[in-house]
Amino acid sequence: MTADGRLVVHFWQFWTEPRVKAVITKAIEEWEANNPLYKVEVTDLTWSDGYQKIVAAFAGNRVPDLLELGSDWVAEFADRGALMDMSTECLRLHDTLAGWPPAIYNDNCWALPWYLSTRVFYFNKDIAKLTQGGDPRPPMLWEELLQQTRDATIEKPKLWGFGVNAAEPHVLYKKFLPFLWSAGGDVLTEDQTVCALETDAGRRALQFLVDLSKNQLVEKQAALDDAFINGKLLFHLSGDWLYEKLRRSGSSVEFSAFMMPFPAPNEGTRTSFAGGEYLAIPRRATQPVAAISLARHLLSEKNIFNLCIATGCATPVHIKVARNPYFAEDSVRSVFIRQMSQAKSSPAHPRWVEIEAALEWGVEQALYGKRTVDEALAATCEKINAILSKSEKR
Amino acid sequence: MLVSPWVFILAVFWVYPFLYALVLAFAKFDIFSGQWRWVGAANFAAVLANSAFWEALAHTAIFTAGTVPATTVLAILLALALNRRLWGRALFRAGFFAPTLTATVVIALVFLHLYAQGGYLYRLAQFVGITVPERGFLLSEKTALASVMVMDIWVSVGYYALLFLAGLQTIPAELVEDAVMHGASGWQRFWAITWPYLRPTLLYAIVINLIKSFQIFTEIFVMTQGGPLGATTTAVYHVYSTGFERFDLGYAAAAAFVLFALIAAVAVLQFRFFAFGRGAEE
Repeated sequence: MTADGRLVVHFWQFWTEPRVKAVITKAIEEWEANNPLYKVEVTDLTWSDGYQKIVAAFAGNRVPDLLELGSDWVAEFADRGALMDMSTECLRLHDTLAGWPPAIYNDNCWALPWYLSTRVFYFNKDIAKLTQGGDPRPPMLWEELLQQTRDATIEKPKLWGFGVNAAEPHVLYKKFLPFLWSAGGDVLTEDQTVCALETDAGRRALQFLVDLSKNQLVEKQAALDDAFINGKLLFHLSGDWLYEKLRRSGSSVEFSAFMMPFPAPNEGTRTSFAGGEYLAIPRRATQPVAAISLARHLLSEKNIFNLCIATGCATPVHIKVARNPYFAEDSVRSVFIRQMSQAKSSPAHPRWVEIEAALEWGVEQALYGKRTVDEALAATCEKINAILSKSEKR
Repeated sequence: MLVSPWVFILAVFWVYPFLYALVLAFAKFDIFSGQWRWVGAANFAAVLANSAFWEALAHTAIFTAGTVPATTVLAILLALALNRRLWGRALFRAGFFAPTLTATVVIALVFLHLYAQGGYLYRLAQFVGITVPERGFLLSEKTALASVMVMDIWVSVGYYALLFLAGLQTIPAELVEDAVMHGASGWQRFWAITWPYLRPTLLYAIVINLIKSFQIFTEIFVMTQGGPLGATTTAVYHVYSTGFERFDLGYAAAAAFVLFALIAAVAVLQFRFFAFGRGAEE
């Protein structure tokens, strides 16, 4: 309780950038004005150690009332009995918001989608003109992507066709999964009991990523984004934050965006990765009613629009906001919106964080040439199956 | 009464966590429910049977073997140089000590950029004709650990040089003058006079540097997160990732105690090797 007798609602969230934080603070102040019995205390988290802080909070029984979780974490926390069942609230907002799959676990809904993101290919038209001439077109097929990548890789000036992520946890798998899903494969079987990577689709996807990455720029995500902004990369698979960076940096690169290409003519899909951030309420929250009210307010059409303007998000979680011309009529944001309709999230599995680490290990083994594609997939499945066999259904 | 604040701090921040970790090492603990059960030595057996732990230990051993001797030798040479009458000697001493005063995280972030493809160190290496890895020093499994080691040596040399400098300044000037008058060469003076006075400082420097090297973590966390391909996963990073990323706290506690025992054993061997207490008195 505060000195003036108001009840404290603890809200933990990851948006620390001043421009975005200001928008969230304003939204919170509006809610407080409409709910004078409460005072919201915001705790900022960072992605580098936020997960550990959240788990430590649950372990120490010092949980917040409203909590922002990454999309890959919801199933794990729900499985541990740490979250409040929000199925009623989810049903209420089902036709208003998008991005529900990561919030669903064991047929119940455990969180509300707050921020969605997907990955599209950014296309440097300046480099493409050097190799294609005239009005360059982005590739529609994997083979075209590979050929254009190779054609664009030149020594003087130093240019690369494609930027590959390496040695960066929680990032690399988001670059592999679009190819795996587009080829018709998946990480786990439908019942999530066995690894499903050792299939033709899995081999094809990983082999393609290995071929695409040969002699290309290998760097961490931020460095790859900078390389694209500086006009060094032809193709870069990235999120909407890069569009914001390109606009704010005043980069002179002429670029466009396009969806995942098809694996082959009349084959496969154009599936990309979908991730996001979700608002959840811990089961042991002291102010759950206030937390739900605050969540509803943050998820209003106005606040989602303001959040997207501040963050540069291209795929608003609020369906009406997504139809706003600001998003729907922009040449790059409209690509994101179309891609999001064909995007998929990681399997909602309580041990996904460990499975993801095993998956990234395997992809890295193949990318670094330490194992062949078949060996890498076999070794990865061995690790994943070991994780799955230790999982207990609660 | 006067020592009670210190005793309190020791109890809260050292004794209690130590004992808690000891209990954890013999238990299976669920961090969400807070429930735990006794598993005896199972966690220790799991640690000793885990190839990832031994790999991490091997990386730590390589790191230690590469940095401790190099840092020590360079620090002694630097101390000998700084012990001469040089113009701007105080400035040089402050300059070499400056990295010690800078937060490790800050230094790690700077070197992250220096080592990257296109970074200053990368381009300098190319300029002088050194074969650079295509991916940058920290993204190539062959050079990542060595790159962190070079950074560690750069950071540490100044601190140990000052320690040795302090040791050098305990040498009575008359002894040196006497030796010069009797025609002793520089090497003879170093071996007969300087070395015995430096031995206690050397023992201290090596023990401290060894313990610090075995505990290398911050640089790995900031620069490489144990990659690429696990090439920079050290023992403490392994403890961290199993304890705070996978939340297998019992295993992590057991691994930490195995590491503790190893460090203690190495420290004891060092004391015996250097025959602690014998130095200038001889």
